[in-house]
Amino acid sequence: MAEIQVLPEKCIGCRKCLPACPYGAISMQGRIAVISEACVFCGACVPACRYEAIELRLPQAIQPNSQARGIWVFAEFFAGQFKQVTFELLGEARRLAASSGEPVCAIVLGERAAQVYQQLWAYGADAVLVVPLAELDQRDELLYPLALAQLAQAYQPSIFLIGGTAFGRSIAPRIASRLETGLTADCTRLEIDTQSGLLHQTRPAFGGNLMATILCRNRRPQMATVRPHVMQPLVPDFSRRGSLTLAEVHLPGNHLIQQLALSLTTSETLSLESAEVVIGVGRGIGSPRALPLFQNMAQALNAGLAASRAVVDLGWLPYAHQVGQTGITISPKVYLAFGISGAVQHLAGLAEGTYIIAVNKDPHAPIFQVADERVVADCIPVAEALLSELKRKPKVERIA
Amino acid sequence: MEIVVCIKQVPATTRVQLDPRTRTIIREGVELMLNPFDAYALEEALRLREAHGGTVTVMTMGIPSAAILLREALAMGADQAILLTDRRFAGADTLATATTLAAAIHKLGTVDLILCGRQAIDGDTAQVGPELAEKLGIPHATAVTKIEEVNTGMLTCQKMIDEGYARLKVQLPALLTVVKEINTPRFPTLAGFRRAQKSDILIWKADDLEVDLGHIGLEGSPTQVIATFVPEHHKTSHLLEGTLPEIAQQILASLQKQTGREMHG
Repeated sequence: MAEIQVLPEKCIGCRKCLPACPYGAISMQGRIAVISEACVFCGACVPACRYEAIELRLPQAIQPNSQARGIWVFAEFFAGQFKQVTFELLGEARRLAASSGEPVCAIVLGERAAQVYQQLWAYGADAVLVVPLAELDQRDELLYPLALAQLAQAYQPSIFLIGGTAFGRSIAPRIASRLETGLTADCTRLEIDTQSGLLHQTRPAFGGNLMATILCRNRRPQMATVRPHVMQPLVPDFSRRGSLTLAEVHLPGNHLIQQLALSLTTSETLSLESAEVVIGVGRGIGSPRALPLFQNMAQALNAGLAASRAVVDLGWLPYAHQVGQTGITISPKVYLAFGISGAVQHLAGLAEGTYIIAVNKDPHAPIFQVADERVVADCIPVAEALLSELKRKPKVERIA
Repeated sequence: MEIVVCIKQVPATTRVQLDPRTRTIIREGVELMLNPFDAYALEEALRLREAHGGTVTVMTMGIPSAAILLREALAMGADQAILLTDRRFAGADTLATATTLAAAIHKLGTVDLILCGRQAIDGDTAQVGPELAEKLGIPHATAVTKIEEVNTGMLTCQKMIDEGYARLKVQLPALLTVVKEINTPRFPTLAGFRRAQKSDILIWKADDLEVDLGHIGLEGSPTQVIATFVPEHHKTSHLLEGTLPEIAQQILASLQKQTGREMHG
């Protein structure tokens, strides 16, 4: 097992290692630093010590599978189309392929999805691997991981990327667990290290207060999920052609999970996790009577409607709208915040890189520290002006 | 019905603040608390026991002081508490954590349902639940908002999906991860606390589990954090001024620029 110790003859009690520990595991006993059981052997303290007084011994590494090759992207398909995040991941995979020289492969499950695989070439796949089974036409949290793990075992990719949709985040851990490999959730940056060839996976931790770069050195594939809108898709080239491989998987006859019904949200509560624009409302909107204004705006902008925890706790909107630490995480391109103060817990639910436009009458509201544009005003009149501006525009066009 | 609830001690991150000079997290005086999502898992387990009988076992892997969480869970009404604590468990990533929890659940014997919070608020990965279900070879569902019906060998539940909600029939044993919408957790009672003080917390170490030491703790963790840094949070925001229609036009212009699409009513 791993061991860590402070060498008492080298430690001078300078306390420099204390703030370096993200887990608060180091304290002083007299003039010597002491590492408690809260330590997880992350090694952050080692370079912080100028006197080489902290010794970390890590277990011996297992050699990675050198045969593993290829960058895989799971192509999630729902209601007749691939999820947009699939195209974003293909774009990112192409960028990674430029430095590793490996082929990019999209994985398609289901008979229906198999009919439109050519799109995946257009967005950057060199190869498409298809399992055209009608049994896989419906997303299934048990059968999909089983099928994808079998494919990974048979074809041995080096990297496997899965879109951080609710479904992707549910199946990716099952695949990783079955393959006994590492998985990094919600990466915001991916890079292949030119020296080691390893995938550097960077993600937020501690509610976004800290970014961590994570490696999966010795197991393959190196797996990561990425939220929608975080990566850029390529401009599709529909003349681009790649290869197509039909693959087989072995599925059990009995189904342990059965989907009984789906209730899909209407446009006014558009899927928050994949929305390009999200309107957020906080207690600053004053009363639930103001909600129709924001619901209309969301409809007009084809945007999702998010709420702070306070709004949900007050019963103004159901939990499905809550964004933040105890709600959902969203990654829109633009977040339009009305009457949201910007507590750390709320901001933790916004992906890094989101463009924030905030309206709040309090000039010192914390949301303004993270906003790209700010309006210091009562949010209701601003929202009304925005809505009437939105309604005015098409009319002008129709007259013209 | 035999139910296991997996819980985790997390920093009360409301207190997480950055040292403006060293740009590191100030950890002094940071309290630890029960992961908020796990309180809903425990409450749901207690309600299921009240309706269907059986026992509720709470389990956590952590440092010895995490026992305080288990006491709280006992005070709320859990029947049994297990603390998985060993230096050899330390440094575990989600896979090694799932492996350890799976070994502990195997040791318990027959289990019908495992409930977890959807994610822990320190790591936010939401991975341990599904990874654990795979290790146990049982079905799982994430972000469950309602357990509607429990019959012999199966349950129906409602879960959040990106596009709305789905209703599922899941065969037991199964693992569900739950969200806030599912219930409102009870508070521990004074009588509960008194009872909890008298209850024993089982302490299991690596040697108590049938588990390969190479699959737990840091050694059993395929992922390693190689660097941490503080993101640039502070932006200088651009102030929008003018009459209300002018401000509205500026917002619309930004929306169009950022998304690359026309904004119409």
